[in-house]
Amino acid sequence: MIMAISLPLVISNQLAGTCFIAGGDDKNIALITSLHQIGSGNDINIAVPAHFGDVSRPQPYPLIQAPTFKLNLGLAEPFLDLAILLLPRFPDLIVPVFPNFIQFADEIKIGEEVLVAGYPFAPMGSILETVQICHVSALGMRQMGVASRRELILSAQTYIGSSGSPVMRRSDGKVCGIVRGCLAPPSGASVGNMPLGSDSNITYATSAHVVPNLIIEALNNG
Amino acid sequence: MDKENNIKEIVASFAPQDYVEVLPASSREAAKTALENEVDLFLFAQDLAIQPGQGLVTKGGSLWAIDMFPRITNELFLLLCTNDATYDAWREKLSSEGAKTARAVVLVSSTAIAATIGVVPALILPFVAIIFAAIAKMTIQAWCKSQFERKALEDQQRKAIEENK
Repeated sequence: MIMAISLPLVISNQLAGTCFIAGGDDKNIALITSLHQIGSGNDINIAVPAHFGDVSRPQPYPLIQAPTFKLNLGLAEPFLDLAILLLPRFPDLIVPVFPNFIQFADEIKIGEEVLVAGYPFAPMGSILETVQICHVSALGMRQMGVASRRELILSAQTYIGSSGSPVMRRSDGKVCGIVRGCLAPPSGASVGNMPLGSDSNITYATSAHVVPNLIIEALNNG
Repeated sequence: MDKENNIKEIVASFAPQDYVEVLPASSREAAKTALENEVDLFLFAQDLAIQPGQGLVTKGGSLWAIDMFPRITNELFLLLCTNDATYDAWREKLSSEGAKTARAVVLVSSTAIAATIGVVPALILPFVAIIFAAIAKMTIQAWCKSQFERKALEDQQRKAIEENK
């Protein structure tokens, strides 16, 4: 069963994190990731890994280079920390299978088994996709002033590069979240962009029930 | 009427709710709630611009420009409150297209500012929309006045620091 195709995100010629194919129309393929890793939005690409996003295949590594495709920022949703990226369709592009999303945040229950597929340590140059099996350990309602946002809290280990990874319910493959970060003490030290000692297995994901409407909005904006 | 006042009239012709409608769905609902509860929309935009989604350790967060909010407000000030030549062409565009809808005002302004600060318009559009809603709530004349006062105060402080060196 194809759940979602995760791809490495490249920002300003540097591997940054994860995004995944989320939908499309006759003009564009829509991908989704977390907004905080988009930078200025001027130079966004996806790298095409050797396994073409099919994580069931053996992956050659390390990869020295990979073909890339330029994406446009279609929509920024700062309240949810989400960005919809658009890949203009070209004649030879094989149209991928689009994932299914949960319709309501309450569809997901505590203890459900989920998969997180992404590119941990992408900023260090790794294009090795990994799939983590974990559980929903809490349902979050993040308070932001007078408004709130639904989140999933997962028993997954988050690394740099994990942001933007899809969270899929194992039983039916539906995408139920998008990884955005983890609960951790502030990093005491960092190497370049990479915080040290701030990984934990309390991972936060934005609930994905909002994604289909965001994709429609982004595709309509063009 | 001079260009500066023309722009002010265009911006003032829309209500805060009109600007909020430009936002993507979840930000729109949050901004509406903020508006209903008399929350300061400048602070609301500032919080979102410092870190989208707010809170926790985000991986790759250092790619986000945390000074996004002051950069946008500084440029909006130049665009809306002054006759700064950088934005002459954009004021013309706002005068011709912006008068039609709040969305057009936000789109043209976002495109103008994005070109100056080196980002893509879609990235800053939500913040610009919320700031316009906040400006519409307090009136553009009051906002421009507050920005002139803030700039004067900053200049004074800078001068005092230099004199004490």
